[in-house]
Amino acid sequence: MRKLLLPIIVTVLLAFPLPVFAHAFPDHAQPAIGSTVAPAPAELRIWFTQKLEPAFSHLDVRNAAGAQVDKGDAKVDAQDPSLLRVSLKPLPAGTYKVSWHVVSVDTHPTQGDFTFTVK
Amino acid sequence: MDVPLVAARAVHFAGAISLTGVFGFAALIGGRTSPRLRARFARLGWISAAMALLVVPPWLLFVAQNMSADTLAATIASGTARTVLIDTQFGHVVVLRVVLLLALLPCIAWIGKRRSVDGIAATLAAVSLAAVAWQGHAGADFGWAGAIHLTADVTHVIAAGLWLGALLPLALLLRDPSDIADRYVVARRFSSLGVICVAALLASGAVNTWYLVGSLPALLGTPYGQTLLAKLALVAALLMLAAINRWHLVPQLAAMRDDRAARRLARHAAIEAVLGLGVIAIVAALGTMVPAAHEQPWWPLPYRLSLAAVAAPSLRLQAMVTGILALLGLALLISGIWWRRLWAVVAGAALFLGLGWRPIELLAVAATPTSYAVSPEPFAVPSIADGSALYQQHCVSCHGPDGEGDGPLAAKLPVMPPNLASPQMASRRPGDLFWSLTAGGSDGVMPSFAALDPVQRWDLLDFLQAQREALAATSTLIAGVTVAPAPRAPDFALPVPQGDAGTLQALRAQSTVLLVFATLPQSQARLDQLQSWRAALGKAGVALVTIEDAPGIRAVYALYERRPQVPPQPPAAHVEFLIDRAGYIRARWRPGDTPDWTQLPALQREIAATTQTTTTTFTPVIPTGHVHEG
Repeated sequence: MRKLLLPIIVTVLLAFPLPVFAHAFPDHAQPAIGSTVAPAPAELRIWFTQKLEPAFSHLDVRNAAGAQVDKGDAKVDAQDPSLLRVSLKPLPAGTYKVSWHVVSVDTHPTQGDFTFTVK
Repeated sequence: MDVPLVAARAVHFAGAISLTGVFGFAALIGGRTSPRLRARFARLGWISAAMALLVVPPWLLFVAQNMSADTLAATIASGTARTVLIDTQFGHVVVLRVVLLLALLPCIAWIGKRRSVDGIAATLAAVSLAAVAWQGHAGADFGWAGAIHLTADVTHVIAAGLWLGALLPLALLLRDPSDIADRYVVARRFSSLGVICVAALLASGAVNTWYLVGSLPALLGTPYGQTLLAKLALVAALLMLAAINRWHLVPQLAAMRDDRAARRLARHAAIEAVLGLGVIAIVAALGTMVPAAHEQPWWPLPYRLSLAAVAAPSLRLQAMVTGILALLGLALLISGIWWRRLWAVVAGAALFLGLGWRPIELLAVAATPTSYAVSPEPFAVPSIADGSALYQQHCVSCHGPDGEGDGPLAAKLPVMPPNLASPQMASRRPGDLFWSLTAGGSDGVMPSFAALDPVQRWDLLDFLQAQREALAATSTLIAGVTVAPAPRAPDFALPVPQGDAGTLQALRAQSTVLLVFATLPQSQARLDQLQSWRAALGKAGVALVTIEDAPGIRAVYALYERRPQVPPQPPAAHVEFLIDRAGYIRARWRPGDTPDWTQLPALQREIAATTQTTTTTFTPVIPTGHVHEG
């Protein structure tokens, strides 16, 4: 039986690929990644695939001219350690770029950006 | 690879594992220990503790550097390590673990004198070691998955500590010229402990592999998977030595009371300890790498096995039966060699060689390096819209508007472009199609589109997939609910979030969706009507999404407006789709279609039909988009 263990493990692994993620990436966001929204949101929220380290997780939102349009209060939600949120200044119509840089609690840093549009 | 970080981790893990093993050995295996042996154990204990503790400050510094993505000098200057220590899970766990290790230091001087003291020290060391799990990949997961992963991690490190860490004390004891009978008892006890530990290591290792690798392509085709294979090779060598010890040397020691057997056993234990150090070094590297389940695998073989490659059920059955029999033959062969049974060797070899080729012959299909790659983009409007634009720009001249191979340039080509909408295309893996786009066709006619960004190539494939599904549903997607074929509904961000659902995907997971594309003023009467039905629709479990002014979304959903024998029309002024909770478009209605959705009972019937057949007929569309390029 013990000799069959490895083939069994391999077969099981083959049969049920299971997606699990060990670096934090955005799962979804509000406003959604790449979306067009109206009216202008007062807050941006990104839910990540893992728990975040608050001390090392940041984001900023900039307009097309590169000026910062968030209120600089980006923080990880106290209840949900996978949620990073920031308040936004009143946004006129236009496209905004969100840049995030986070560290998951397993110490791995990740970063990226996306845009959303206010109509 | 971050060499300083990996080195610091390796030194720390080796020290912590050794401490657990030394005290575990003293507490669980024991044996009569001479003062000289006790002194040696104590020296081993001090060295291990020094390794585990002294490397913590640099380790913390390297982690801080890694987290802040700064230079080492800047990390030191800004005091980031202090922030890591005070404000992060990693820091808190480090503090706890160091306190536990400091608490056991006095026990090192007492080692081998009192079982109870050894037991306390072993517990402190094991808890400190187990807490490592909260510093790694498992500590960042959620819910049940996180709990199972953590349990496996804890089991894995404690078993590794008790087994690998006890090898050096075992070697020291076996070389000590004390009573040979006592040495046999110790070797025997260690062997039993080893079997338990190895079983725990294999089981928990399998769970961890499942979580972090998850598939054979990921194991063979990613840096993480290949590093893990290197670890498994070392582990296999370790297990072979352990097996020789258990089934050969320990019985010899028992039978002959032979000092030479004891010395050989000691030498094997020392070699195993060195191999164990190699395993620890690899583990130290693995913890800093992106887990394989998270990366695009690069398939290294020219072939892959695919059950889907065999269409006929009888051949599928044949492939499975011969495959299982061949595996049983292999098991029989190995156990025949092990137990020295000629009949089992012959029968096993005959089964394995006689049948083993058959499933491979049946199931092997040509593979490409990206066979198992999946789109990093979710199946959603932005990706499909980008893909559509790219298709018009690069592909339509040969492949034609519907991918049927009837573009204006097609006639001049030496070979006909394949029909991209055909079932043969649909059966190919997205990763293989991605490779065709990347490398070009083997016939030299289809050019390479490697100049396009990988994400753009995936966008193109998402568009082709959407178009293929739409074409396949041309005659089934009508105002009456279809069971199959039904196309998947491309996701998009809702212009107005509904409750906590900001996307179609989140909303349709909660309820059936009636998606309405409206143009004012033509649609006003219908919108008013739907508004007045809101309560009735809500009761039927339907969420209403109205899209008035989103040309991007409208253009993609126009793919699903085809009718048989009618050339593609511009998007209608008003159209409605019923989308089920699994994520499929099940019905489409335009004013004038029958059944007439302007009659509430008719619409309710279609909604009920959608709800009833969803769970029985459709597997839910799993959201993709968590694999990351590069």
